Amino acid sequence: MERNNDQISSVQLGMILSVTIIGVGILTLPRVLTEAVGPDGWIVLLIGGFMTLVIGILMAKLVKKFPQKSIEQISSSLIGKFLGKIISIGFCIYLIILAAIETRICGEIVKAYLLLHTPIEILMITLLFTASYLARSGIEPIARMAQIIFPMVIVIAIGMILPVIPEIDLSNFLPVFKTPLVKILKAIPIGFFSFIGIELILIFSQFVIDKKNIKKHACLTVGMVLAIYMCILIVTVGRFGIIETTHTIWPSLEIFKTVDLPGAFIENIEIFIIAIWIFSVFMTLAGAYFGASLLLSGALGSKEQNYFVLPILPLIYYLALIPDNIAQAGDYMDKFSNYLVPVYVILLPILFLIISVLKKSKGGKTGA
Amino acid sequence: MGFFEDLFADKKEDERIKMPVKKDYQENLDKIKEILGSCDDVIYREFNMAKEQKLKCVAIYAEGLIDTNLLNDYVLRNIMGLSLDTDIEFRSVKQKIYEAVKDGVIAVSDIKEVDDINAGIDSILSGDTVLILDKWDKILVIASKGWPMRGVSEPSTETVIRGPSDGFTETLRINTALVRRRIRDPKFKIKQMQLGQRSKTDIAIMYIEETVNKSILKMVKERLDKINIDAILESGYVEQLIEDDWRSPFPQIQHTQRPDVVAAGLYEGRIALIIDNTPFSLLVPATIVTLLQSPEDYNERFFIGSAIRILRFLSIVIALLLPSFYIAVTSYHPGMLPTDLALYVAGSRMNVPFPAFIEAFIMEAAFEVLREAGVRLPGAIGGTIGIVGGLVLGQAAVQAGIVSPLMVIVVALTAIAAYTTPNYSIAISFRLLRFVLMIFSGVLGLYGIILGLILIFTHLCNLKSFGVPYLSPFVASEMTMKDFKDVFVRVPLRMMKKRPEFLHRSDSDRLGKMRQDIKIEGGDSNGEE
Repeated sequence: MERNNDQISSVQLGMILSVTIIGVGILTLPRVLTEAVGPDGWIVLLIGGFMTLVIGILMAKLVKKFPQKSIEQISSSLIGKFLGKIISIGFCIYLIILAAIETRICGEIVKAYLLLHTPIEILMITLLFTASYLARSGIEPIARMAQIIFPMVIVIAIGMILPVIPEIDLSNFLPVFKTPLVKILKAIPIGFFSFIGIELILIFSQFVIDKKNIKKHACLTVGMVLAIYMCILIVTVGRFGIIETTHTIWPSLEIFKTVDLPGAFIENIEIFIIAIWIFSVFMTLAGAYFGASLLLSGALGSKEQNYFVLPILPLIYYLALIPDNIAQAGDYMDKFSNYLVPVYVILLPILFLIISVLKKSKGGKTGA
Repeated sequence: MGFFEDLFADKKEDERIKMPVKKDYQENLDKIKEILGSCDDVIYREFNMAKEQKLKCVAIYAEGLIDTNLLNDYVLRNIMGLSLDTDIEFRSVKQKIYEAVKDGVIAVSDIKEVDDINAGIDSILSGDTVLILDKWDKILVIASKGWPMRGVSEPSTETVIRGPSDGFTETLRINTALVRRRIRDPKFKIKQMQLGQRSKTDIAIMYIEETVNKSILKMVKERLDKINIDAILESGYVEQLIEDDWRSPFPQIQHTQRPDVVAAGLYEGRIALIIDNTPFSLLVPATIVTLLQSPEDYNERFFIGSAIRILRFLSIVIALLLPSFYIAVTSYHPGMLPTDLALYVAGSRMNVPFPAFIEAFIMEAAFEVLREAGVRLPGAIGGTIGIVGGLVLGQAAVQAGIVSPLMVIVVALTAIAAYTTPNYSIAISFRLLRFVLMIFSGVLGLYGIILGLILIFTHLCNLKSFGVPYLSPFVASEMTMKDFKDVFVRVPLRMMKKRPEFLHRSDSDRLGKMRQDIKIEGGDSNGEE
């Protein structure tokens, strides 16, 4: 089997991005938004989504200029081999940290909702080994997995949200625009960071056959995820109100505790939601994990990505163990999103795009 | 059509030493006798022919493999009679006597010349009669196959209520004929080859030239050519040697006993392999969806067909998940059940001395033992197993308080659900994975089930059958909803205008425009004016 010849379509890339973006963020999203700006969270989310859209388009533009090139090759050709290597190793570390955060939060949730007495170490290590199987399999199986999981997530999420709809009180979102503009601007990173995962375009695009459609599907993805976030936000805040939402750790899960499916013999629907959510988090983890191993193998000049999957595992596990409790994990997550994310998600693609445009115009002149 | 000719071009088997037929009659005969020494089932019938009985002849065949009447009445009688009632005129064409024997005397429809003794021996052993004539460097192979064979009967697996009830038999030729009867198209090709160093089993590769995907056909041929084994006893041998991933618990090739399934597969653009000596033929490529289809889905009207499909998917979920779900709910998440039900479950399990995992494992294992015993037992006693196993064991176990009544229901339900799958092999896979999931669930509860499911899905995503993703059409690289017409539901035949997409074959039209020239009495039941 020649793994490195794997190819996916831009539709599949879109699917991967969708399930990757929806990760741990969705659980706390209504709370953090409401804490920051009260009833105006939806504005922040909208702005964040719009920013992501722009960034996504920029990334799509960038990778379109370099067909079938990995991010390491792109950066090497733009800013030199040495810096390119540093960038790609940095990106690898970034993804490892992302994977560690996903692992930790998933472990915490499973421990809190499903297995109260099982040590979190067991929960995390089993999750990591499961993810390593997918990460070893290469991009095509990941794409197929995303295609299986994405419709599942959507269908079940919609099915579970429907019974809550009659209980929504939209007056919870009033008054609109009460929050001062400065506060909204300060909250924009929250909205934007809930779309972490979009940067995987840079890594996965090297496998895409139809490059010209990446932009379209990136936009579709962002739109879809934005719609899902919006639904969750409206349902949660509409049902709980501002105060209750800010006082719940996982408001997006708690909302399903109020669901009573008529005639169902199963109570506590939120367990099912967690089950579905684990699938989604798993995909985020597997995507980041695969990306990290791919970058590492590229940086070390190897062609075999799957050799690098298991060696990374202890690193992710160790990083996931660092926080003492869930609050500290949240702190680390904030630090991560405040320092690393802007560099890799915003700065890098813009910088690269500018350099590539400059280089091209220069090259064009010398060529002419 | 150069592609097909190239693919099946007869590459002379160089490794086999050719043994040319000599002019000397005795030398040839001795050589064959030497090679076939101690094969007491081979009969040598020596006789003389022509007017003065000078020309020596021998007919060689394997007893029991040939139709003796054919040999006696249309070969031996004619040749021997030659010497009695032919006159000098015949002898004047001396040089052409051999051609005359071949073309004018032997009254058998299928006859051929070979110039290699080894080929002749192969023919003898496969049931043909070999005729060696003196002073002639060719041997004649007369097709006289006629061994006792089982007639066409109803297949023992994949039974349907509505649909043809002829099934494949152990004879390749009958099987190909059964398919040919369903596809009277010159583009339907049957290519034959032999596999197995010693068994020399005949294998027929069947496809329809215009619908088949050439790259898949090429792959099939290449993989078959790679096989180097002493004997092929059943289609399972071929299946295991050409499948994509031998480590997978899932069958990647569909086997069937039904000619109508093979014909339908060929029309879809798939490739069928018929193997001699077994009533099971193979269809490639297979996807998880094709393995869950039954011909009856198409024979009945689409409401019924679709309803049965949905039922079948549902029962797979039950067969795979119910026991592990029982374990998870009773031992880890009793809160998932409504209070009344939770109390009942707890009450019924009060006297059970085992944890749910052990309880479920004992019962599921007991059922598998019963099932296996039921298969191996002679038919007459088979029914007893049902009574002993189902009624006595189940009832007694509950009364003795070893298992809870709920567990018996779970086992019964999973057992029955597993048998809604038409394909036997994939049913086994699901049964096996059920135990794996039970272990996962026993260790980590619902979280374990989810991890187990993710592992299974990951494996399925990795799996391909001859280059076609096993989970097609769920995972097509282009978003196409077309193939979903035939997955969970079976849309009306009128709407299935295209062949399934997952094979990427060339001729995609399945259904042409409905014929307008035939007016249906009683109005517009056609729906298109």
